[in-house]
Amino acid sequence: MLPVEWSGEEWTGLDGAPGIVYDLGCNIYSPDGRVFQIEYAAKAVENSGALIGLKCKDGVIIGAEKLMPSRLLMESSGRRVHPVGMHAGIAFTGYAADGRPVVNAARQEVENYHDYYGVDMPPHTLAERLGHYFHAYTTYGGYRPFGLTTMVTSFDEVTQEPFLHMIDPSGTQFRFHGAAAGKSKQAAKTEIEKLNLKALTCAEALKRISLIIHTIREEEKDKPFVLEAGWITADTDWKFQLVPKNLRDEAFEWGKAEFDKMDDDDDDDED
Amino acid sequence: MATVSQTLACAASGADVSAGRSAADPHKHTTSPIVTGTSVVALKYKDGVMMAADTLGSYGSLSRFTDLRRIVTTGGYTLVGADGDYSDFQYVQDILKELEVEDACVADGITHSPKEIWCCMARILYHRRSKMNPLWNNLVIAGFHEGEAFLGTTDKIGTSYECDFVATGMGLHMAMPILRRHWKPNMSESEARELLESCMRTLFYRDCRTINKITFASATKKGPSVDEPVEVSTEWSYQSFVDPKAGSDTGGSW
Amino acid sequence: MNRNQYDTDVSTWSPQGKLHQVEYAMESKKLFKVDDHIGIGVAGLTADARSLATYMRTECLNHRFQFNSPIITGRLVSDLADKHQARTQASWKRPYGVGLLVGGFDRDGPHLYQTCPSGNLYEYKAMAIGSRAQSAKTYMEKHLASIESADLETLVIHALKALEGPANDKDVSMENASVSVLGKGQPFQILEGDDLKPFLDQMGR
Repeated sequence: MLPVEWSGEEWTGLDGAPGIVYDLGCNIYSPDGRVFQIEYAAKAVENSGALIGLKCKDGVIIGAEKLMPSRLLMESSGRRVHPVGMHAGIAFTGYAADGRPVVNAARQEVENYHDYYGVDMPPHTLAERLGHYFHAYTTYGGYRPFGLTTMVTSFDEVTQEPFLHMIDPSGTQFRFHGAAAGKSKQAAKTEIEKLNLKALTCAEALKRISLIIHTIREEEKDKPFVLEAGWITADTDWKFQLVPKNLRDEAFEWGKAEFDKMDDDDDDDED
Repeated sequence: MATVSQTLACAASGADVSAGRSAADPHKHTTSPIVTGTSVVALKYKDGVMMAADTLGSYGSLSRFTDLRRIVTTGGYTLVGADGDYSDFQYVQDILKELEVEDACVADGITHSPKEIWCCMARILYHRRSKMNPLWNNLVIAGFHEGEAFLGTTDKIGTSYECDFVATGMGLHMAMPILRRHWKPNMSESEARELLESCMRTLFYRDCRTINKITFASATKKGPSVDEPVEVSTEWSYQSFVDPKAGSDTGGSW
Repeated sequence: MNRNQYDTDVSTWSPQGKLHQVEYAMESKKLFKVDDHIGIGVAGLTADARSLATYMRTECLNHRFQFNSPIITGRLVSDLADKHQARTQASWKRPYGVGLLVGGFDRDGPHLYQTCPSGNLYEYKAMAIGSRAQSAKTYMEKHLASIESADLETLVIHALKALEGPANDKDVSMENASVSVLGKGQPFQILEGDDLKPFLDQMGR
């Protein structure tokens, strides 16, 4: 049995005396083998805007829901999707400031790899390096883990296809057909599973992502957000590109209209 | 963490030790170029800037490589042409690529202007010569940005200036007199091209490290572009070419 | 100006053991020039602000040396935010105790950024930071359309009025306000004291 328990406010020994605290640093395991700081970092992600990545027929697209807390903010402020090389880009959700060193690390890795080998860094290598970077911050008492879930898309020169990877605060990374992170990720995953990704183009997927985000943010329906996206497609010559504003605006409006229609239908059913 | 260059430096110094050299020996830096390109010639004209260079890579006096490109585009507005050591120019291209990728990553819609690239190149070349380890190139930087043509150059010790027309290497001796006589502001595209061809033809006749395979490039409001190499027309029936020593008291030289 | 009889010069202690003039000076130095095209306003620990201002000035000078051109404000503040963030992720460091408003004029126009101790970076149309910033924000939200289309003179008046807040609960004066401006053909400049008179006159203060 555990020598301590969580009272809701503090860790106490079974005799009720103050016990050892297991959740203040990542250099100590709890008796059942957990590193609580990593789990807490993941909580920071669960409270943030949605991130959706899809591997489609003609490429990979990542879309992000960026909340706009103030009317005074510029629409371009606090971008969540970033190119990290000509052939690669990343997007994140969670504790936004933590994205800064991750973006810089990714750019460094991509640049160094190209300097050394003369070819673009393969997608699995980029995902692995970033996974290592995340993981390193979970292994020292003095550091805290990144409060981020990150999606990586990059083009593989060898297999001639773009990849989609997702990395969580522990540094675990997997390759995905479709992935979702952030608040309501379960609902988003359910929606993604309904899509036929093998037939979907990235241009269509942009609209679908918009609709999914509009659908899953029921609670914050009135909080304004900006749809951000980046993609690697045949049309962009397999280069990473931030999706132009006019296409994002169009997709935003389409998703909003479709959602309103569905919403009305639901209302009708109730009548 | 050791960088790539540090790792390579260690490997290199290891090789030095095995070759019987010690750490106490003085450092040896580049003191001469290996594979070289010859003159770059460029001029401003009505629509922007035009540049030309041949495609030869000489290994000493041997015509070693015959299809090298010595003019490249960078950053959406700029042309960079180089003479001198070709591998040093390839290193310069790596730096230019890094600037380009940096601009693309920041994605704020701003890219380095021709003038900024010219300044940056001059700083790098000056820095390297100050370390007594120069990049062995003359660089010509040309571009068209915000409605204005730019033409500047820097040599391997970082001496740099802007100009209306420029020639490097042997071109300084043989193309500059032609340019000084015939260049005028606001030349048309065909006039500019003709003048550049005349420079390149003369250099082909007189410079022993050229071939008649010339890349022409231009930077205008449409952006920078480098054409595929072409031959310029030549005329070998001049009496002094046919019989160089005839009627001359200079022993065939001029 | 005299808020009490103990604040006339730096060498007078107040009965509470304060040097009012010194404190006023610390209070008033909130605006710093970084370069001709960049200026900052700070809220928080002044010592941290000065070290960040020095960093920003050095970056500007290095950029001018390397490229012979003014640094792009957005890229500078991004590096600045990196510095903020790096101080939040290791137990042996403390976060910078200061937030900055950064104004800049670049080749693509004017920009206003805010950095936070957390490492977050925002770009705003109008913003206020520091204690009592909320009333200024309320004012600016109300007058946003006018602010966005304002010329420099109108903008100065908006800034002064924003300092007063929507309720006009405290009057700005030549003694308690300073305004910095920069823009197209207008290098960074601090307006204070008599410089503000024409604007205050226009406001009827």
